[in-house]
Amino acid sequence: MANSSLDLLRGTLDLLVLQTLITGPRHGYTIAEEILRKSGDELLVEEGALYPALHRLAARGWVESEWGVSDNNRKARYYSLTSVGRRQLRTQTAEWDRYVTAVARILKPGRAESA
Amino acid sequence: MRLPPGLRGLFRLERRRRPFAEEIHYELAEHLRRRTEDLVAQGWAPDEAHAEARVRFGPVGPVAEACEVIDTNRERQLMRREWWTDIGQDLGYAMRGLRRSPAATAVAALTFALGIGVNAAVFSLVDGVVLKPLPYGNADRIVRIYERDQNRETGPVTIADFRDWREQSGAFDAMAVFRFRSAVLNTDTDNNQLPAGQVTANFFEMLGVSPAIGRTFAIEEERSGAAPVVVISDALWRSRLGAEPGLVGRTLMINGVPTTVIGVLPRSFVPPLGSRTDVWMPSDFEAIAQDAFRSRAMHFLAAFGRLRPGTTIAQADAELQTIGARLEATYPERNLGHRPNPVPLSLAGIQSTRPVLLLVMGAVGLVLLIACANLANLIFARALGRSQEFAVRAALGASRPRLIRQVLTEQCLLALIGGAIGVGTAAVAIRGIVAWLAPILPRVDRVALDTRVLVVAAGLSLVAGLVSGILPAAHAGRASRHISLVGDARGGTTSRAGRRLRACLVSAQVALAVVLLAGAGLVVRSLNQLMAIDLGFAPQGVLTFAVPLPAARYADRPARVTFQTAFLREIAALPGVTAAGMSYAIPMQNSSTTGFDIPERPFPIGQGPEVGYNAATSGHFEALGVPLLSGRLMDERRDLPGAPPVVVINQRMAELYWPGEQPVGRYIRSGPAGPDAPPIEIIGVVGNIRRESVFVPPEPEIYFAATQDVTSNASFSVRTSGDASALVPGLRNRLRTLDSTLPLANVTELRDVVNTTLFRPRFLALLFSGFALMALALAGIGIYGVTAFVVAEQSRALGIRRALGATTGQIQRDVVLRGMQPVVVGIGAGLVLAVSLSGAVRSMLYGVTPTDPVTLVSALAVALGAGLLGCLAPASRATRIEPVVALREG
Repeated sequence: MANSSLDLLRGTLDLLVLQTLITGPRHGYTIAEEILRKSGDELLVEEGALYPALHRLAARGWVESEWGVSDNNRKARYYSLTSVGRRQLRTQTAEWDRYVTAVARILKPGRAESA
Repeated sequence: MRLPPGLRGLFRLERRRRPFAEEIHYELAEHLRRRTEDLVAQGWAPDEAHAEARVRFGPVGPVAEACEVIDTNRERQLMRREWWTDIGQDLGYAMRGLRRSPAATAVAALTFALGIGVNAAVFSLVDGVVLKPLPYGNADRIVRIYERDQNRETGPVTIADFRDWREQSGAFDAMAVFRFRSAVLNTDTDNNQLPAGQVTANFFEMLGVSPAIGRTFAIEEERSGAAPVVVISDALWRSRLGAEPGLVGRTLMINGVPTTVIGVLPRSFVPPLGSRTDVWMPSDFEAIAQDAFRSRAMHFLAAFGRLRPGTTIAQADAELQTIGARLEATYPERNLGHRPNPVPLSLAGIQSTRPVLLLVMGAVGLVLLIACANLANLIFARALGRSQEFAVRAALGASRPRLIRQVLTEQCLLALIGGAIGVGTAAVAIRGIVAWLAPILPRVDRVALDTRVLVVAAGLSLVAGLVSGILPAAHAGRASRHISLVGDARGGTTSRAGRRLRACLVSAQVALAVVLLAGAGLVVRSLNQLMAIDLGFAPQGVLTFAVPLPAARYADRPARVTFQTAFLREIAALPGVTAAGMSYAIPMQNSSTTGFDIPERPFPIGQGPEVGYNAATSGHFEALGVPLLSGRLMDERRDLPGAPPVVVINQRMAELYWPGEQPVGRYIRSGPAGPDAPPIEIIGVVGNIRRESVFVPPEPEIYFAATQDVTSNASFSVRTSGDASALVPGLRNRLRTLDSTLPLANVTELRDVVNTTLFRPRFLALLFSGFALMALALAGIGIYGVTAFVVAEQSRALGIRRALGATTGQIQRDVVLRGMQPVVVGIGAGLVLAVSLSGAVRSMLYGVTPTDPVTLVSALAVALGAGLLGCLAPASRATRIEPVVALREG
C-alpha cells in the first residue's frame, strides 16, 4: 500500500510540475513556491522531493532544462515544457479528471450522481 | 579555423562530460539559499531561517543522489543512441564508398572471402575432430587406457590386464572394453559384412549414452549362452532397415544366427574409437580370460574407464602404474615392459591428427594475415585517393577518432561481406572435404558448418577487418590534418611515413609467404621421398578382399582349408588373373606379431623377440610380386595340416638372426605351447616388404603355411593383367556357387591401400602448396600495387629524369630496385621466421630436415621471382612516361 500511495503521489507531483510550467520556463525554487502556494503543504511535504521529479521529467523528454540567470542575478537551472510534455499534460489531466470523478462517485454517491 | 559551435557539434558529435554532481549540488544549494533569504525577509533570524529551510527541504543527500542516478542513466541512454546513429552513419558512408569503386570492392571482398573461407573450413574440421565435446553424458570422465611397451605408446590391451586393473583400481567407478568384430547381416538377397564391435555389457551405461529406441545391454546378456542380442547404429537402422521404430524386438540373421535387436543408438552417437560401427554385440570376455595363454599374450582390446567424480587422470595414472608394476613382477614372461597408459578420451585416437590439424590451422592463419596485409595496402591506396574527402570532413570538424572509425567500419563491412562469401563457399566445399578426409580423420562425420563455425567466422571477419584497417585508418586520420582543402592530393603529397608503412606491409606479406613456401617445400619434398621408397611389393593391379567364415559352419580346419583352396582354384581360373594367393594379413591393411624362439640357441625367458606374423600360400607372394630369394615357397599340396610344419622368413629376419648363415633348413619354435611346441622348418627366404605403412622400414617377419595355420578370416590377393576392379562381379559369382551365405568383404585395390597410407603426406603437400600459392599471389599483387603506386605518384619526377636524358634501362632498374627493397627485407625476415618455426613441421617430415637448405633456397628464389614479376609491369610503365605529358600534368 505504501508504494502505491507513493506512486500516486509521485504521479500527482509530475502533473503539478507540468501544470506549473505551462505559463513558461521556471527554475526549481519558483516551481516549488507555486505548488506550495496553490496546495498548501498537502502535496509537497518536503520541497526536496521536487527535484528528482524534475530530473525524471527531463529524462523522459517532457521538460527541458537550461542554465540561466534568475531574478536575483544568480545562476539557476530553468525548466520548460517540451511539446511532448505539453501533450502529456493534456492527456494526464484528462485521465486525472476521469479518475477523480470515478473515485468521487463511489466515495460520495449522492453528490456524484446529483452532479 | 573557427566554426560556429553548432556546426562543429553537428559534425563532431563531441561528447561533453556533464559534471552532473556539481550541477545538482548547485541547484539544490541554490534552492536552500533562496528559501533562507525569503525566510529572513519574512523576519526570521538568519540561523533559524537556514535551519528551517533545511527542514522544509528534507534530506539533501538522498535527493541529490536520486537526481544523479536519473541524469547518469539518461546520459548513458543518449550516448548509446548516439553510438548507434554514428554506426549507422558510418555504414552509410561505407556503403557509398564501396559502391563508388566496385572493382576495388570486389577485389577486397574476394580477398577477405579467400582468407576467411579457408579459415572457416579448417576451423570446422578442427572443431569437429578435436574441440567439440564427445556426445556422451560422462564424456569428461571417460579415459581410454592403452598399454605402453617399447614399441608403442598406445597399444591395445590384454583381457587379463584389463581384469586386473578393474579389480585393483579405485580410481574408476566403471570399466569397459571394446574390440572390433565383423558381423555379416544375412538377408534373402545378399550377405553384407558390417563394421561391428563387441563390448562388455556396461559399455553404453559407462559412457552415459542412452539409446534412441529400446535399451542397451543387461549384465547377464554378456555371458556366453545368453540369447544373442545387438544394439545397432542409427546409420544402419536408416540405411538398411528402413528406419522402422518397430524393428526393436525383432530378429535379424547376423553371422548366421538369429539375433534380437534390442536398441537403436542416437543419431549423434560417435563410437569412441571414431570409426563407424554398425552392430554392437555384448561379449563374454571373461571366457577368454580363462585361457591363461591367450588372456595375457593377446593384445587386442580397447579399454575404457570412467573416473570417479573428483578423481584426476594423474591420480588414476599413478594408481595404474602401481598396478602395472605389480603385474610386471607377477607375470614377467608376458607383462615385462608393458604398462597401462591412460589418456582422456577427448585426446585418444587423435594424438597424431592433432598436430597436423593445428599446423594446418596455423597455415590458414598465415594466409589470412597475408590477406589482411594486402587489404591494408589496398585501402591505403584508396584512402590516399580519398584524402580530399577526409580533409573536408576533418575541416568540418570530424575528429580523428571519428575518421579512423569510419575507415574501420568500412573495412569491417567489407570483411563481413567477404566472410559471408567465404563461408558460403566453404559450406559447399566442406562436404567434399569431409569425404576426401574420411580415410585419415577420425570423427570426421561430426564436421559441419554449424553455428559455432559461423560465430567464429563472423568474429574472424571483424578481427580481420580491424587488423587490416587499423594502420591505414590511423594514417588517414593523421594525414587528413595536413592535406589542404584546395591542394591536389595526387601531386606528391604522400607522406614519407605512409610510404614506409606500405613498404613494411609488403615486407610482412613476403615474409609470411616465404614461411608458407618453405613449409610447402618441406612437405612436398618429403612426399617425394616417400613415393620413391621401394615397398618390396608391387601394389598396381592387385585386388584384395576377405571372406570371413562363420565359426558355426566352418568349425574345423579341414572344412576351412577345403573351402579356401577350392575358392583359390576358382579365382585362378578367372580370365585376366595372373596370380592369386591367400594370407592372414594384407600389407598395410592388417598386421600381427608373434613371439618365436630358436631351439639351437634359445632366448632368455621373457626376452624372446616379437616378429611380424603372417600365414600365406605361395600365390600370395606371386600376386604381390615378392621375390623368393632362396629355398622354396610353401606348397598347398604338400604342406598340409598333418605334414611337418614349415615357414618362410623374410630377408630382414635372416640377416638379424642368422647373420652370414643360410637359414633355410634350420628350425624355429613358435606358438602358445612355448618350449614344448614342435620345431618348424624354415624352407625359404623372401624379400622384405613394408607391411605396416610406407613410413615403417621392413621388420623381421615369419610366414606360416596358410594350409597349416588356418584362419577363419582369410584375405585373398589377386594380380590381374587388366583392370583389377573389373574382376569383382566374377568373384562374387564364383563365391556364390561355392557358398551362397558368404560375403565378399573389404574389396580394395592394393594401390588404394598404399595410397591411403600416403594420404596424410599427400594431403599436407597439396594443402600447403595451395596455401603457398595463395600467399604468393597475394604478395605478388601487393608488390605490384605498391610499386605501381610509387610510379604513378612520381611520374612527374620520372618524366623530368627522362627529359634530362635518363635511359629506359636506368629508369627500369631504379623502379625495380626500389620495388624490390621491401621484398628483399621480407625474404630475409621470412627465412628467419621459417627456420624458427621449423620445429612445428618436424614430426610431419620424412627424409628431410626442417631446415633443409634446398627447400629454403627454393623458397627464397620463388619469392624473389614473384617480387620481380610484381615490379616488372610498373617498371615498364615507368619507361613509357612521356616527359612532356608528365610535366604538363604537373
